Amino acid sequence: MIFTTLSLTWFMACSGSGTTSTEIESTEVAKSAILSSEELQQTWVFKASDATWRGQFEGEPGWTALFNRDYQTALSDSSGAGAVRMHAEFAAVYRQAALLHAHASQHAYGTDRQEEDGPDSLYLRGVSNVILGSYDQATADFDALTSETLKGYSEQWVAIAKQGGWTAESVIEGHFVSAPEVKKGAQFRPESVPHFEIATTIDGTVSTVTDATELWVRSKWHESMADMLAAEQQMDPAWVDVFLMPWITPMEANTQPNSEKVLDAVSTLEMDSAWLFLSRNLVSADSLFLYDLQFSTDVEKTLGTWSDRSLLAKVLKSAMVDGQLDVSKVLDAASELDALLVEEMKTVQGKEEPFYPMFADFAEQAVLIAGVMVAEKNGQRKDSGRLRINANDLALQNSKDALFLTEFAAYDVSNRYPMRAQDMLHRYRNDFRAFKVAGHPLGTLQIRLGRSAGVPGASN
Amino acid sequence: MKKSWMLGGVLMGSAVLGTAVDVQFYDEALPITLNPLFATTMVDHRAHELYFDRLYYNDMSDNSVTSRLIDDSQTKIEDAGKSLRLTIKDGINWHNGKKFTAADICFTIDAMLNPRTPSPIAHYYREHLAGCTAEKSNVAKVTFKRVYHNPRERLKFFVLPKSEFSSTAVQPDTEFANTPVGTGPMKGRMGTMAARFEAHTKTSHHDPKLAGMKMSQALDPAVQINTLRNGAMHGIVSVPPIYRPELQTESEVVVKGYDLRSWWFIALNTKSGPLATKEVRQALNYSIDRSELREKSIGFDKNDKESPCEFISGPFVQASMYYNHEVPSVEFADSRKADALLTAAGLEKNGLWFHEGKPVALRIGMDAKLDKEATDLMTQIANQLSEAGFQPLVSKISTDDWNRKAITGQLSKEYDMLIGKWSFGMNEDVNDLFHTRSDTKFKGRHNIFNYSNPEVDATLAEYEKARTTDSAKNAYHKLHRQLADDLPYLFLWKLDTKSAWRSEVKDSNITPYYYFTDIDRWYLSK
Repeated sequence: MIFTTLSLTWFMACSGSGTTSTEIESTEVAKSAILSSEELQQTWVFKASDATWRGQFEGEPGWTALFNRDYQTALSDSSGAGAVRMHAEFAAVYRQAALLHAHASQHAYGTDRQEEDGPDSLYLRGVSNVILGSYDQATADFDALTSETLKGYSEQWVAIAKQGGWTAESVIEGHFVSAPEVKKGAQFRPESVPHFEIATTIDGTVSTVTDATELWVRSKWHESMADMLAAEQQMDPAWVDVFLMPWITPMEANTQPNSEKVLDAVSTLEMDSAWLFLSRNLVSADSLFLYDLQFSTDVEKTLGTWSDRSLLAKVLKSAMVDGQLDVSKVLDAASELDALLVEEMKTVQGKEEPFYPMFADFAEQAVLIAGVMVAEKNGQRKDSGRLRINANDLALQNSKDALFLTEFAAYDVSNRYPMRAQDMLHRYRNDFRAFKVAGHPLGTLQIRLGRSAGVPGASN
Repeated sequence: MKKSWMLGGVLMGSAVLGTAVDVQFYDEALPITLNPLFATTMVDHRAHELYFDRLYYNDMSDNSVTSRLIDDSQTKIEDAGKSLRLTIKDGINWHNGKKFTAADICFTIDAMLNPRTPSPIAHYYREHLAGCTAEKSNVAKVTFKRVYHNPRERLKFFVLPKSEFSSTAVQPDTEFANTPVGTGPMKGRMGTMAARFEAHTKTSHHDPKLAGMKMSQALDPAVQINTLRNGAMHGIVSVPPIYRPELQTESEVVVKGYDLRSWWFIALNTKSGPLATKEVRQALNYSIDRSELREKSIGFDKNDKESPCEFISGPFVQASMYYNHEVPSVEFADSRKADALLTAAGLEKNGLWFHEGKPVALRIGMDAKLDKEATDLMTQIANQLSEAGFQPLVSKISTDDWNRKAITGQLSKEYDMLIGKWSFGMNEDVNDLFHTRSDTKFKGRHNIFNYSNPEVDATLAEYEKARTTDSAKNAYHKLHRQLADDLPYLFLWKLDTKSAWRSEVKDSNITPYYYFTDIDRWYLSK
């Protein structure tokens, strides 16, 4: 039972304030300038305080595993709509891992290119350029290849570059592990790394490398699995697109299907609660808002458009000052929402359960993660970084979100900072077995930066 | 309830702290020196970040290389890429009111280039910098030994005031090391019990919102936690792991990650009695039950996916590309293996282990500050060695002695085993720890027991001379295997560092390694 585990964890973390629910006397609901009591009660976080609503997830091993952040078990043990969600999560995580690989390769063989790097390294940089949406540079890199094998590997990526990005008809295949058939129960087996060797310019030596292609293929396979399972559940596959949109790579950004069409398709449908439970959204309109945000050219206007339906849009709109997202206001709003939700749950349920604060923490994370997206879209890159750091610091064990953390890692690597990313990939190595593919260029970058860093070595 | 900093935190801040504006915090110890050329501890690096400015630094939110001192819009690359012409921003003053000029930048570089400045940090810069010319009062031309694609990365040193020194041969034991003059966001001096800081506001380049800070030496962990909880202190730089779970659930405190790679070890005196025999060192490796040590001193939770503690078998953290995953860590004690090794080494057991007719006594020391992070670690290690048939004699070593004597190889006659930790930033170079000591070249400057192994030296040279990334990695993989076999250290674990700050200290983002780089933004909510 999910909440048996949950309660136990909570009590162990606490200083022993009791083992049963605490009856509380107060019935006064805290008033919020951010969200009303009615709005708070629309959130999945609040609904999860109700045993009946919770019942649809309790006892499902996939959800228990997700709550405990055991992603591998969550994937293998989930069923029904939960399986759709988990494959979508994995698709998004591997999208971000591919992005991380691309950034690491871009720096290792571009910004921090070294004397040792011969023409073979341009294959890795070329693939990263395609993923990052730099098609002319990618073409130039692929044109300079001398190895026939790597020229062969590059052909499928050249095609993506020539058509200006990924389209629905595009196909990329891996070279080192066969993608399993898309059918229920199929699993993508782990592969061994490194994938291959490239020649260096130094004394006939070679370097071992990994290919981002394999991460991309995994992501697309999980997406196909999610689509297939969604169809089986009679769920509109557009929900998978809505889920994935905030996590796509630059090469997909300009070739997405018409957003209004997708929104029209799902706006009138009821969202399965499997998309919400333990997610980064509070209500279904939040996912639509974040979907629409990715197409926005006027963030403040988009916030205004959605603020009457999306609670995240409403909260973040209140944190805008002179067209800029104010980081301090976002932090305060996230914290306040966390506190208000706990109070609302206690008041309405008439008791205090130890897992209320743990669920409420998901709401705080939701505001911060959505804040990251709004800041990025609004051109506030440094502010988005500050929000990422705070989200990482503030998350409790059960609300640590691997997808967000992979995105954070990709952000760090894009900034030529590999250390946090290395720690993250290491921590989740058993959950996402192909993370080792992304770890390889990251390690190369870290070694290169470390050996040229103007900082001391050991200190005590 | 958790983290309601907007509500509870503000009230608590006002009520408990009154009108005081000082932010007070515990660090592991007090700085050894406030002269940044001679920093040896992480406490030093953190304190220097408050007193001084580095010429360039990495922005904490996007890692961009930036400067508070230089107007980079006017920076020019000259001499085919070998020089940078730097223009100083207007209105920058030292703490003593004097104007910051190009002469100060060039003085700092000249001091680092002067071989009579006995600074290992300067030694690093000597590899890259060729010289500096003050072309105008606000223009300095810095010349490198070769062309770098990222020259600013080589200019991250702290800038010293020319007016405070009589020579470019800067020495460590001068008054400047206690009462520094910098351009950093805080000015002040070091006391015997605390280091105090006062905001540096009479300048154009800093505008700290905190009026002052006070750094105190960490006390007993329980006392630290209680004073943080009751609001008498605002922060703890390094929270003992055992207290982290409960602090994470508190509304008035925020636990924050501090990106630092730290690993713990027991250095073995390879020239002392039976420890000179490799098999004896290997036997000690099997006499230590790391699993039990971790549980008792760190408070390890097996169910915690985010566990801060992970065993290691060599001188790197497992997340590092340098870590050789083919070398297994030793998690549990194995008395059969230990006994076999000791017997093979010629030791005899009669209740206790005897070497050349005498019971094997092991003089164990530990950096005293570690006791606050891993409670009773030394006692637990002594208990395990005692159970294994050795006679442990334990003593804690003051932080001052640790820094002045232990890591400089001056405790070889007094100790057989020393428990410590090393911390690293981006640069995970461990050559200084294991290379045969050479005082003139700074090689082996952190070699605790003056360990010397020609094969290890050769591997370290391989790393140093590596021309490809893979060959550098392979050299350290080889080193890892060699050290795990020869065991100048018993490698224990990596341990993440977490800080805790009261929630009324806002915008308190922690910079990797240097910690206080972003201090100008920190503020106390009223």
